[in-house]
Amino acid sequence: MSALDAGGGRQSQTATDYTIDELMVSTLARRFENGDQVVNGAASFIPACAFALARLTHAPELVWVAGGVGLDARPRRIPASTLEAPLWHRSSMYMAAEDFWPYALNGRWLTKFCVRGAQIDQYGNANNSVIGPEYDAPVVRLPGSAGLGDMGSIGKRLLYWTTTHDPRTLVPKVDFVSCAGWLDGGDARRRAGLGGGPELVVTNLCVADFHPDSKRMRLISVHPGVTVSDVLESTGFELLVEGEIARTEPPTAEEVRLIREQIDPGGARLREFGPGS
Amino acid sequence: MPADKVMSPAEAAALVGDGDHVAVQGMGTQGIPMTMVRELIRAGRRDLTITAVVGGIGIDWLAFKGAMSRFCGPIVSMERFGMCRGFRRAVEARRIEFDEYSESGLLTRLAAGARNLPFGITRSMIGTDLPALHPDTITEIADPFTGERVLACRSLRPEVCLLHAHRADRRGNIQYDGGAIWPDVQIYPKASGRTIVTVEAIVSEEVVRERPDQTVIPHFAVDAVVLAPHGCHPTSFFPDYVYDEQFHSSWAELSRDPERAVAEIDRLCGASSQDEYLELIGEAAVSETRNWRERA
Repeated sequence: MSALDAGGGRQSQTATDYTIDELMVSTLARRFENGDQVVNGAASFIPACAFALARLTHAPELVWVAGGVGLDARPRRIPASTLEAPLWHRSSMYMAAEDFWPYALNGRWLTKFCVRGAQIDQYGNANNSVIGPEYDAPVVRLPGSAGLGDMGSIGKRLLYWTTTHDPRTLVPKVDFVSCAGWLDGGDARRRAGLGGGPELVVTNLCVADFHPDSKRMRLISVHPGVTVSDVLESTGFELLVEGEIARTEPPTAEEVRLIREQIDPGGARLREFGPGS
Repeated sequence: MPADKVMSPAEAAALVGDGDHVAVQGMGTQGIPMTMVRELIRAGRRDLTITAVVGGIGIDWLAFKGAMSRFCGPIVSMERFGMCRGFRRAVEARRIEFDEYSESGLLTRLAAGARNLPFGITRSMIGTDLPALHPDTITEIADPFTGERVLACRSLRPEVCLLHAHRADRRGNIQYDGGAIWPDVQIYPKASGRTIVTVEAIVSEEVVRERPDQTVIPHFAVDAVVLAPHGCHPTSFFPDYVYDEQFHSSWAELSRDPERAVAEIDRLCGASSQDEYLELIGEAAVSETRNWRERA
């Protein structure tokens, strides 16, 4: 507690020197609270940093199943893989996958899940399977749905992130639904018998949520230095804009310090940016 | 005398036939029984259907060598090293069919197979485009008690599974050290017709009896035990060794060129034993992956 108290004064100071990855980590971190349980998937550096940051700041009791294996892991730093053993460092349990799935499917636990897709559409459906109209003859074969095909259908609150906010990623309709979002919008998800659903989208340009009735993606805030028209031009569908759009709250100086010095000094999070990301 | 299940990789590969459905342990860069993958390539197997929870470099090699015609599972990826290029190219060219399920959807099918049930049920995949890919194996049914709609997933019984473990005795009791236990280990042997396990070490039954808590597969469910120290290379096998970073990086690069990729696979599959393979890899690379804790 004393360390946190000591940092309290600095915590509220907005950073002036920060980069987009740090802003995304901090924005996502603020969505996790004490009492949440989270798991990260493959190549999920931004969420892994966000979970670590939340635990070092406002949510020390956030439960993190690192890489789907290491319960409450304390990695020395975020390593080059978000699945491999170095991330499970000093866990309190190695969770067998046969244990993990019943906990995830149960409904009581792991109620929030972070999703990234090669395509995300205006209703928050995500595609990580194929690009092109024909599944059997894909223009581009993507890795596959993996856990997304589960997490979208079992009542989770879905938080999306993408480091490539462009019309190729944010499309009107995904070529293939690997992860069920709000489906066709409106009450389609409820009619399909599904609880939970997409809540938030954090991109490299903005933060968005979904309209409570139409379930269309709706702009909440633009990141410092980004204009609303930048965002609209970079989005492949008509993003809802209602009233004044806020500026995304930047990370605090203390958050930036923690990310750079303690959580991810090796810059693993930058693997999500640049060619091939 | 109890049965001795220890055999050579070539003898074990003879338990896999052309056209078989083969479930292969592994999670991306973790825990793929590569010694047996290379042996199937050496044996010239064709038309295999491969199942993996997260397919990695082993699936890429089988794809490059034309050994497989179908992948049945949720994802093929080398995680931080990206897509398996040979596999991707083969799917895009329609030489390999990707029979895609969600992760727990696949496990539902295997768990039903393990219990000799006709199908399992799940809520996963509802609302996605995945069920429509599988009219023969997924269908919506009503819960007979409440009427709730769920998905029935037909059971899956692969002909054979390939696993890698820390140690075994000659009868086939399979031990894992503490650490991540993948679903493969728990479900594949029960669902599959035959089970082939490569191991880091073969020990006496007395050694196994000292730590029965570490035995995760009973001997009666195992058909073949194959000695393969460092047998998951270039993937990791916790806690003994991590993935070979250099190997994966250079593979991700050279697999852009199919001719070079196939030549490299042929070179590595040319090794006639595990020892010979490890000589090709080099002592430095092998020990680098073993000394991972200090760098973690």
